[in-house]
Amino acid sequence: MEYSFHTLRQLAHPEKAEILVHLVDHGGDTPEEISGHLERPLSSVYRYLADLESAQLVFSKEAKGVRHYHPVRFHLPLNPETLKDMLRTPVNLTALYRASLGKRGWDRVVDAMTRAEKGEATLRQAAARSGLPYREFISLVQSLGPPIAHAKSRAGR
Amino acid sequence: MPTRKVVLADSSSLIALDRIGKISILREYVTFVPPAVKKEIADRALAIRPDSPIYPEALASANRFRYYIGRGDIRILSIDYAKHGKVLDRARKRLARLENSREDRVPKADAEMAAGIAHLIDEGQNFEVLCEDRVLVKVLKEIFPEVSYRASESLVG
Repeated sequence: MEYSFHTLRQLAHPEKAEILVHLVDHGGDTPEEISGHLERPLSSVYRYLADLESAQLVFSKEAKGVRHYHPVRFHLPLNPETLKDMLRTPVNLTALYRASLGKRGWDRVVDAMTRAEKGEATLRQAAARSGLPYREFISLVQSLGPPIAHAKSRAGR
Repeated sequence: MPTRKVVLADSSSLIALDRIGKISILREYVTFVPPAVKKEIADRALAIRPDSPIYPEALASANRFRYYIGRGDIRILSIDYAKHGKVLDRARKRLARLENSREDRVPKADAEMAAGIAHLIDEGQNFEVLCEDRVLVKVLKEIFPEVSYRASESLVG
């Protein structure tokens, strides 16, 4: 597995690291159980799990209508060379934003991008509609490249 | 000594060049930006929430832009708003019509690109506009058909 700087950032987040350690100790758990055990709001737990999943540090499986999260066994040697590699490893912004915004938030971003692509708004106007700061919106647009209209289906896969 | 070409750059182009590691190409040009564009690339980028997926990228690029501004490679236009008020109004009207929104909701930097063009024309500069936003370019072209517009891709070949 290739680790990016994003992986390091997830691990450096105390609450995400705590969730990861909890999953290692328990061999997997549901968001509700994690929330109860670590005394964290369920919404935060969901968000952190989505971020950890996007960084491929956890994976989830659904059984009997309940989603269980499991830790991924990783080995992250940290030295100047690996740090250099991590900084150079491209980050899949689409996957990260889709994970952190959720389906509704992501669809809103894609709709805004589509408006800009169709010539119905400038990038700044589209950014304002998307709910993302302009700087983030621009980076996303440029990382996706045209045609943006397919981003919804691409990201949904 | 050969004279350097003058460009009026939008943040969409500056960010695109920075993302591909080609921002240094601007040393071959005299690059002007309107004040609102400077805010986007160097100030607001620093205010991005730390858990944003692009936080490291935005922080690093804002610092690079600050360095370039400090060195004078990117120069900030001092726009005479009273003098170019009519151009600003015209741009705002067109941009608002485009999105069916109110004029006061038009992003400041979009309208300032028009004022920046008027300012450079007034100074008698021979310049090009660097902008990736096709919709904004279309609006600017309607107001200033005599100016040439290009995307960052054409700078790097």
